[in-house]
Amino acid sequence: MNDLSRVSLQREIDELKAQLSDARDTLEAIRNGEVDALVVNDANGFSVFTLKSADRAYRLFIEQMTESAVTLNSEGLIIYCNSQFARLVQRPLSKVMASLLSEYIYEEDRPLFKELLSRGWKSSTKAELKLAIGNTKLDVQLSLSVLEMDDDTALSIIVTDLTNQKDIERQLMTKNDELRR
Amino acid sequence: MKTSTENRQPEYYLKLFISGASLNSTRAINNLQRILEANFAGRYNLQIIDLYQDKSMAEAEQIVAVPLLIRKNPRPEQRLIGDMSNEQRVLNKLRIILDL
Repeated sequence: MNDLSRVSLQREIDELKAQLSDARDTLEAIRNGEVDALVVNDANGFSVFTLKSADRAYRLFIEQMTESAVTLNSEGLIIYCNSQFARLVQRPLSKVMASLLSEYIYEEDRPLFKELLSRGWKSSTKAELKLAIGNTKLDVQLSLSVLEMDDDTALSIIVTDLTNQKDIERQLMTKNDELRR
Repeated sequence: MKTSTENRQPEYYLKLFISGASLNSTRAINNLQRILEANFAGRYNLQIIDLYQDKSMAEAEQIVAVPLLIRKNPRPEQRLIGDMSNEQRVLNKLRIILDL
């Protein structure tokens, strides 16, 4: 065997060794539970198979955030909401689930809401309107986006209370008026 | 000649692919940050890429499993899968091994 072929064979062996060690490391990481997701190229292209999901982290995030979060089905029925939303509309959580979100919208704003919903099912959108809670009106911003789940779609809505912002706007307007006089 | 660290290019270009806020992904970020700061402070550039939110980048790299660390530079490219808890293994992958 000449030296040239010896060198090239040695190089090939080194390369194969490195590949084998990478493959072993991957298998070991999977076996040790250090892997969160596997990526597979199939007929549909690139898909991610989740082994360890972040469900808990995201669930806590939604449950404990100071914004209200609501998910609607295609009929506009609330299929999920966080407790912050229940607090906002002053009803027990169990009463809010499976009720229509439109029930909480101030009557005059319902046509606007209906229009917003049909827009929201097509693409992400947001708008300001009023909720009716008991006898009081509450300024809010609704931010809508479609959630594509495995075999279902839902509309997710973040409800932001604009009471403070509107108060400040009103105060500013009053001050401006005073200055103009 | 200027030798100030601000003007120097980072020696290590690294990409860490993760999958959202899942357990090992969060661990990998924490472990890797600690190892990098202890051993390569000011000499690395680390990009963290979420598989779910940045699919095109993941596709381009032919990823099999996450968390995955890729050393893009120095060449040749090196890859390590796992939660980056084994410091020695991470260091072995990162350091350029000169076989003389």
